[in-house]
Amino acid sequence: MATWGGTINAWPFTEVTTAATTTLNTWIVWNQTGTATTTIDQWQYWNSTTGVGWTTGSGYSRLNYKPRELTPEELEAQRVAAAQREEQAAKIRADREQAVQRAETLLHAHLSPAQRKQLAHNGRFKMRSQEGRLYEIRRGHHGNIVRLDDGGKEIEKLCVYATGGVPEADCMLAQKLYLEMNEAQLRRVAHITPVAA
Amino acid sequence: MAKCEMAIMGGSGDTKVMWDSEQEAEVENARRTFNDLRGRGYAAFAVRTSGEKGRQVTEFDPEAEKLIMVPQIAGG
Repeated sequence: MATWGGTINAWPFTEVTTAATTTLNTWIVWNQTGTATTTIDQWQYWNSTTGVGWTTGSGYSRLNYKPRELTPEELEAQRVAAAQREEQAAKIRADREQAVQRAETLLHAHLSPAQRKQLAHNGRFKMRSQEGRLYEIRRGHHGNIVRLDDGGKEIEKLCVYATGGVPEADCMLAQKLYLEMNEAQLRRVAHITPVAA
Repeated sequence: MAKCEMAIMGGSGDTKVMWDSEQEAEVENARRTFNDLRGRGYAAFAVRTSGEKGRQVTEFDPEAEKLIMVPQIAGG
């Protein structure tokens, strides 16, 4: 049973005109080994001995191929391998979802009810830092902290993140903890961009 | 008997280490984990579930109600 087959479109087909007014494929010209009176397409020649044929058409060259038929054992091995790959991918997806869920739970446990509401509605929450500054932490891993004035106007953008490939919510919690308990360290590490007035 | 907890942030979400402050073996296990993480650049924040203000700590406190271990931060 043939399991796959078909054609591959290869290089663009370009026609050229030689001095002898013969119109040829650039590949034919390139691969040509004969004299001006002999034109041999080396690709076609090569393929003619392997049973695989090239077809040239308007604007393309095409490889016609037909692979050998797979044995039932090979087909079964392919099926098993595909199932294993799918199972592995599903596990990775499930682990990632679990990690995200755990991080969300941890973040929520350390937000006030008002902050939880802000996060749910706007994807961001406001907080006062150790030194009394007003910040907004938005959903994201980095570049997601904004310092606000008391009127809510943006003053600075801070780009800092927790390393280790932690989920987004863990990153946000790390930023919050630093701002509450070691703001100076966060500001030392962060890339801070003043917001133009 | 006081149950304490350490949440360790990581790529798979946080993992938890629990200990009873009156159980020496549990405290030692938690202390070892704490010191190992500190050695790897983690910062430790002692937080209170009651919502009181927390603090950053550099030494293991067996009586800490809850510790959150945060990997090193970096500027973007």
